Amino acid sequence: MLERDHTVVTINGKEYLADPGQNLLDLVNSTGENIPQICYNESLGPIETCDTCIVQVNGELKRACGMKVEAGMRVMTNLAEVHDAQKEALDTILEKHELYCTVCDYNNGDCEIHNAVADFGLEHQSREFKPTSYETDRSGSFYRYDPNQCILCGRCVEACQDVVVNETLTIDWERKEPRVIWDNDVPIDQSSCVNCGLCVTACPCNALLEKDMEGEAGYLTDQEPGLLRSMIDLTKKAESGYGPLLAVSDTEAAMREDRIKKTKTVCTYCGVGCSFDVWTKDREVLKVEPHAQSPANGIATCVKGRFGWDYVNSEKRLRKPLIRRGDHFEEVEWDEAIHYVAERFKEIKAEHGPDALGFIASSKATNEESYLMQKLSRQVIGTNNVDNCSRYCQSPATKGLFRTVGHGGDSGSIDDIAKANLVMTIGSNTAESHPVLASRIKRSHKLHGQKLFVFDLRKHEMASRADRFYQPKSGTDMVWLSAVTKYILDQGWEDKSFLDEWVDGFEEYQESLEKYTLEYAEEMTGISQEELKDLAKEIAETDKVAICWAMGVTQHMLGSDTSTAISNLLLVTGNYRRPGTGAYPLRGHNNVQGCSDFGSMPNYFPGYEFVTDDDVRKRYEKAWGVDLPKEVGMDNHEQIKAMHEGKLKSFYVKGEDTGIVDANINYVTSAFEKLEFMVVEDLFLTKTAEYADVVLPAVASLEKDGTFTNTERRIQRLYKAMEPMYDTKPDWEIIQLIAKELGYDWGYTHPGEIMAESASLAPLFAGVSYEKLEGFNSLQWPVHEDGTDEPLLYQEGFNFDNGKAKLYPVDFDLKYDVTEEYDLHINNGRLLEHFHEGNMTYKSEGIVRKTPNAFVEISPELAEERGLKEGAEIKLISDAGEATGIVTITDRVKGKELYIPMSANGKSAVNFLTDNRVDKDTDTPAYKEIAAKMEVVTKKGEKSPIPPNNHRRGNRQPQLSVQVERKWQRDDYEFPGSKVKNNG
Amino acid sequence: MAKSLTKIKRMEVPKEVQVEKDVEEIKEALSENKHAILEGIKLLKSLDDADMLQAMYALTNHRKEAMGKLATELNKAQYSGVIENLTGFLFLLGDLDVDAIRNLSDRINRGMEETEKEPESKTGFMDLAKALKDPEINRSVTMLMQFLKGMGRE
Repeated sequence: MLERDHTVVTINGKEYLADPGQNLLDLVNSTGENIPQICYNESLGPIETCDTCIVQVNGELKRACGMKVEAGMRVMTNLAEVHDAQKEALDTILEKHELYCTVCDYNNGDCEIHNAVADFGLEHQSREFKPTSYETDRSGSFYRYDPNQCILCGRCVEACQDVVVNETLTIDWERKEPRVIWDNDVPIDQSSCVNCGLCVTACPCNALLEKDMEGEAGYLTDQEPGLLRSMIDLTKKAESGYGPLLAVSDTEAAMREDRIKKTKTVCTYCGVGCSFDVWTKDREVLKVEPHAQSPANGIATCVKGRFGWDYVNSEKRLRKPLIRRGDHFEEVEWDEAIHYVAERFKEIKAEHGPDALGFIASSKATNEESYLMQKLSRQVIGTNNVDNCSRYCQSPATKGLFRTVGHGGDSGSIDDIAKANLVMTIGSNTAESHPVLASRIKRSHKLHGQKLFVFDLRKHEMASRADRFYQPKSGTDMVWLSAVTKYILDQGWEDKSFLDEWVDGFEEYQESLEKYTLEYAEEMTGISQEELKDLAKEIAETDKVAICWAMGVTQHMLGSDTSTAISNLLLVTGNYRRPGTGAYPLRGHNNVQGCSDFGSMPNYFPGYEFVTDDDVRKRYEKAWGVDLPKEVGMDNHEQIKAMHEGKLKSFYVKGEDTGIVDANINYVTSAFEKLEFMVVEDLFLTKTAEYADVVLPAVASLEKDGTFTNTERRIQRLYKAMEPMYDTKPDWEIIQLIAKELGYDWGYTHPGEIMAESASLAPLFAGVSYEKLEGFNSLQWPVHEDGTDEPLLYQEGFNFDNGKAKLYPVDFDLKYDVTEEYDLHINNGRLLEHFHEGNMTYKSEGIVRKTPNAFVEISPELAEERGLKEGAEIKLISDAGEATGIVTITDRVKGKELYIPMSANGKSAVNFLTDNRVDKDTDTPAYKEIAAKMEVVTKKGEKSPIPPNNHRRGNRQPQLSVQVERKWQRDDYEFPGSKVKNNG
Repeated sequence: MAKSLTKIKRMEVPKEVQVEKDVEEIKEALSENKHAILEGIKLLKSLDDADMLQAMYALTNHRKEAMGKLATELNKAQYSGVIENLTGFLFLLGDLDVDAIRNLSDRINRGMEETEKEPESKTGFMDLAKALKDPEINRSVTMLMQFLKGMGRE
């Protein structure tokens, strides 16, 4: 008897059990039958453009990828007519694609046309290759399109439209010679293309190719264009028939493996944690190739991860350790630098005690390096004055989650965000700050009916895509969150059983909501009562809600409380513990999560165990053989303050440009000037390094081993792709050298040993080991001793002793507003193509030619009021300082709100304007609370700060998929299946 | 009271020191790969003895020109037949019955030897008919007729 949840399908006379609704091609592939399939890719799904997977289904020739299994289906893959139809399809493809593999840069063993032809055993081309009349488009920065190699499979279009949803590429099927076009048929460089490069990865052949690959990959491909043409012709003559051609080119492809190294690494930019292979030839980065098995990103990544690696080989890299001598730095050998640092640390410790020294770990460096920074601080020096840059961004979110649910991390995976029925983003410019994660939301929204509600001051891309877009007054998110929660409770729409079973503190919390009436919320936030009611209803009625938030929430004086309010709302509506639900603070840096996880915090050991907890401290004292300091140390912000007060004498900062990214930089840099001793470890002579006494040259992520932890709590390994440049060293080696000079010989020979030590001490990482993290494997903490991890948190209960979450009352008291004098609100944030302060991405020529400078966004209303034109220069003055910038006028901002990207440097740096206001609970600077006034320098500029080839000037062409039906409607198209039948 | 600085005085490594460092590195590599290096020297010597070393050196230096000339030359019409036939011949070789051809070519050679001899006299029609009685000639004629039959077969 048939089981209900299986469908029986007969393939070549044999019965198979299929999942109901399974794609037929998927099923055929699982049976070991080998049929060609060029346009089909599991990451993209069926697009039905190439016709090569034709099989006979119930007596008729059909594209297998276009069929879903049905009970009793009879499928034949080995009939002559099937073979003929497949051959016809392949022949048609080879009319558009010239096989000159040996001299093709894409001949690296993974060309899908090459492989399909070889597997099929196609020996001869029955129809001649017919080039189009188009030229190759090489106008863009990073990749080129060759219409004469393009088979119009549309995988690039599918990827652009429906996977990353950037909606730039389409195929114009109606013209005489169809081709892929950018926007409404403009050169690549002039289009809305954001250069995420997914189309290049999706392309099965060399039609779309990274420019860095051209002439580099093959042994015979670096030729003048004319000669290359001759060689292509010669190759085709000499290797007549595909058999010999493929044999020769396969040999050449195998030879390439000798000189092209493919190394798995993890992106060093944002917190999404894209992993991919980086292809290198010596120090040259040829390309970046994400894989379907890349856990966080699949085959996608963004322009920075794909093409932003020029900084690795920058001439501006530090070459040797530097010591300040008089009016300059002097290059010295490592021995001398390390000895000097150790001696100064000893002197200062002897004279002023260990707490006169402070340490800042880097959220760009590895987990192992964070672990060693806090070990140096605690074990070797004896102070808890160790912190990291999550203080600048994410500590409030962590705080809010610790208060309510017990773990300071995303409660699920990016997959859960994609699965939610409703995604709310609050204070997150997701499409620019976390582009790959944003794409998951954009895809679910476009294809799967996911709802998207966006809360932001600024009408960024996500806002323009949202089903609903709310613009609450700056810093008032906590009010509408609480009011909506209250209204849900008042209406009795809460998830009662969830609250009963899983949540403590309900009564007290409910009382605390008293003041958050709809009237009050309307008055504070500017969102109408009707809208709030409607919003409450939507949230309560939706099965799975996920909330993502970022700096727009945390970088306020009430950042922790607002994060808490988000978690409260999720608890009241039962949106935890289930796939597709939960709280998602989107981490900004590649390792902002891991840097805190591994203990570079003044109050926590690795794995968030308190330094004040005697048992925990004893564990570390036993392992490290010293007494450890009992008191909580100074955080980032307190350390700067202590410099001004003369209490902190020595400051060691690793991979962090504090002098640009901390708020109120005038105050910060004047603090540096008061230090007795300052050590900076970095790739470049950063603004911060300029104040140092010793600068230690570190390596780029491609030059070392280690692990990063992404926003999903996912620990992933990166492998060394190349040797350190010049005389530089990885941070873990540098810290180890300093410790050794100070009498603590740790003796690590590989970061894996550091991870093993940390796993043995911190229960949160008990089961983590380098073996379990091999290749593209990853673990999402907590990782139990047996090696199991928790992609979705709180399955067994919340992280408190009784397993119950806590509703945590928060009060609202806004202290910030614009004034009559400082009448403008200055907002700031990221740009897609420049990371953070831009130390790395400004080294990329391809990025800089499209986005050379930062700018100041002002609204059309304000421009009109102040008489400003595009390109005008203005000076902004706040309580703390002043900054100048070039104006671009856009309706992304409204009224008297301005936006400055944080990649603005020099005189435009936004942190000249920010002041010492902080989140009251975590000391995170309130970067988002700046009131300023404007002085006009010049009303009219020569040109816009956004050049004509910037993607913001493009013109996106949204559509669903590649629209293959339009191909089928062409007069010159005939389904190969019908053609074979008609002829035979 | 540290003010911000941007000037870097680069470390000047004296040339002798650098050379000494490099030589040390090379010596180490030599020692680690002693066997391969000595074998390599032998190879170099025999290449040099055969004047190959210079030729290879020159060809490597001029590889782009050489490749260009070769590709341009070979792309000319007069070669296209030859090049296109190359692989054709490769497959032809596979089809041939080498034993049979060897047998046949032996026979042809023997025939050639006979033709070297001075002919005894003119051959008349009767001589032809008589000759068929000669077993050697008869075998040859039969074989030729068989061959003609096979060749004509569709």
